[in-house]
Amino acid sequence: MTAEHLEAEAATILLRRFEPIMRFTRGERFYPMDVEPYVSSCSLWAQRADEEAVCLVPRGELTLDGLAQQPQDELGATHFLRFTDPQSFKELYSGGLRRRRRGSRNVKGPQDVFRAGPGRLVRVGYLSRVADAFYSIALLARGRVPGEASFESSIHYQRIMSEREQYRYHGRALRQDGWIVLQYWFFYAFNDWRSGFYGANDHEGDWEKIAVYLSESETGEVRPEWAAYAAHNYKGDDLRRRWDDPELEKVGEHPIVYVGAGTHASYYRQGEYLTELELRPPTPIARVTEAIHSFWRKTLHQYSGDGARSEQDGAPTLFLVPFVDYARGDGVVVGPGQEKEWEAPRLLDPPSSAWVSGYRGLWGFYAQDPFEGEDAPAGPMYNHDKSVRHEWYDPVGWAGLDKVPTQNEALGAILKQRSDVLRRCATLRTEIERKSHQLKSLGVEVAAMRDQPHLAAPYRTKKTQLDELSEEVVQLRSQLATDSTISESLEGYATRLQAGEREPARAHISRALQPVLDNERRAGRVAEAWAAVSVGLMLMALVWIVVFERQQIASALVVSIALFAFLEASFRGRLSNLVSSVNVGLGIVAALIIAYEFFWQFVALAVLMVGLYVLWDNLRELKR
Amino acid sequence: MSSEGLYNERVGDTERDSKIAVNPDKTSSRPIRAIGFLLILQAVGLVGIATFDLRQVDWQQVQFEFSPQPQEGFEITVDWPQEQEVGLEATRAIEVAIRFLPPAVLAILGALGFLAFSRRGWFLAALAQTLSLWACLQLYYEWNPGFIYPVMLYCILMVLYLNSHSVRVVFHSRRKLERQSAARSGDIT
Repeated sequence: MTAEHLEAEAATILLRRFEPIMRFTRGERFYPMDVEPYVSSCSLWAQRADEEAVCLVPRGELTLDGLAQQPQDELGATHFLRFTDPQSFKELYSGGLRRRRRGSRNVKGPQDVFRAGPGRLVRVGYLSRVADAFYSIALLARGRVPGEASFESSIHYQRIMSEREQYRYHGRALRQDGWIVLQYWFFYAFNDWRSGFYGANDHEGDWEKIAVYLSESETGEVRPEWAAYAAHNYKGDDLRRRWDDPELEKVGEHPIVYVGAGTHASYYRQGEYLTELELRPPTPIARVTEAIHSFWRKTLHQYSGDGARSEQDGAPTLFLVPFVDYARGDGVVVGPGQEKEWEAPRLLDPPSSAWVSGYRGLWGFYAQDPFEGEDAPAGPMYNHDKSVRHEWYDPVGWAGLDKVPTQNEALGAILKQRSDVLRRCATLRTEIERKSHQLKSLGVEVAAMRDQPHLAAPYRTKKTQLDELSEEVVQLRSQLATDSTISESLEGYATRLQAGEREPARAHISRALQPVLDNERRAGRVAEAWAAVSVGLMLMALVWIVVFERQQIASALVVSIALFAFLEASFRGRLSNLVSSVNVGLGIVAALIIAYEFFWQFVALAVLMVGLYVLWDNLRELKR
Repeated sequence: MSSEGLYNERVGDTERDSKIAVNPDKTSSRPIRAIGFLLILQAVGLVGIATFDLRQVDWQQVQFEFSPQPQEGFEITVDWPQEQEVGLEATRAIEVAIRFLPPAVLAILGALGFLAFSRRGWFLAALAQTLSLWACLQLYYEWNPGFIYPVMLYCILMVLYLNSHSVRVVFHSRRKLERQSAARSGDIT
């Protein structure tokens, strides 16, 4: 069923009734804003392949209506906005930006200062730390947002806010599959996760969203049933929480959102989330790794631990580069009855929003990053590749609610399904009765024909028919038994629902995003220091051994690796895993030595076993 | 009280909780007791090999000359060619005893840990296999005695058994289990 949007007035009333309370992290510099002043501060550009980017509309002349027209839209061109300007930035920088920046650090009060706390590197192993170092180095080579763009953006943003301080979200209200969906879209001028909070990326423009799902009674009364918060690229059942789930905090009818610092991802619980960027191995290596892993785990029934595997699909990953998303909720609070209140929302549905569907470009600088992490996002309606977003055309399916009826519909849906199943059962019974009668008749016929040489050919045909019919009846009976059980289950479900019982609030969640626990964060200062220096020390030790210890390079390498491994395992509390891995390594070497030393004995034993088996098999046949 | 779990994770349980593994049911206790028995068998075997080797040496013919510096230990000196072989045998027997004694002690401690369902039992047992295998590989590299092969084979099987899923899950960290169940049950802490 396609989604249909509500009238503007009704949409605004509902959006305001359930609008969220956003709790930001101390140190956050960008808050949800209206797109209009942002667009007015931007220039519009077009980038064609192998050409210099062309400025289509200069800064100060761009409007939302102008954006909707998207001039010079042609195949292969990427349109993008620029909130910051490299030229003006150079001037600003030489003309005192450096001083202002230094000064701005000094005027920050303790309320505004972000402190990272325990580092992310202490939470992962060596390989991931090395991968992290390479990731940082790779940023120098790939396209990225200029280093000072974050600061320049914050100056532009502060200027806009000083002209008129406002906090605004963009809303949609629509009906789909019996649900009323309220989508809250938040636009931020800049995502400064990398430059501000030790994260993975920076980019101009940032679109984030949450949704509230309402059911409507026959009298037109609406009731909130679910909320879904978007965090990074997660989607499906794990995104949503039922309205009565204690994890979904609320003030009255307003859900509370803990916003990731810099990323602006939305979380249900305050805390620090370890987000891992997955670097997957090439397919052939992944296949070999998977085969070895499968043999180790399934054939040998060995414990495989919690090795590096994808959060999303469980596929093996080469490295996990760790980043922390800080959603502490200790900074500015925006929402009804809070220190900063929402302005009236800007609706994204037609007719007032031609720019939503008309502009298919990016909402900030196009860095041409092959991993797309540093490129600005497309608008609320489109993906980066200009296809329409799933959450736009199917907001119910996006949160996995397309298979869930509303509370008002649930009982009716169950009873209807039960009556369908009962009808199916009745049809099956009639069918079984008819086929059973046929089966008996055929059985009598076949019994009469048995051991009659002149009826041998028709006997074989009838016998085949009899076997097939018998199998068919068995299948029908099995289906009837299953359907009867399903009908009983549906009846029980309906009874429980009528008695006011509900499914457990979190039965649909298979993998919930969890903040890092306090005792995991407190790694200790020594462990922190070790995590910070270990990779550098290891590389220096390697160079030292190669240059100065060439005589005993093998033993020096073994000793240094053992020392680093022991220290690392001790600090990370993984000594057991280390011992287990060393045991497996030594065991493989020992097994190879035994196989080498006793190769011919093994061959002789194998031949002997085969000989004994053949002998036993032949003697057994002889005995028959 | 914060203490160290089986995987050396810091767990905020009581002293008793930190030392006792997750309560195994009757099915899971069988492999644990079996490993306890196998570890004792391993310790007996290692001590037996060392004792047998030591008893093969004619200690009457061996002369010890202690170094004045205690850190230099002892050295075995021989005067005659036939005594050189005896001296070599004695050195090797002592080496075997020195290499096999620590894993034997660890195997016994590990066995006691396993029989008492202590979290540290697994770690001690695994460490005993590391030292045994390392000793065997060293001996193989140095003079390749015949008894190392059954020891290596036994250790390989023990490593596989200790690392088997049915054994490791019994000693799985309480905190990990709690986190997994919290994710599903909705325990908000």
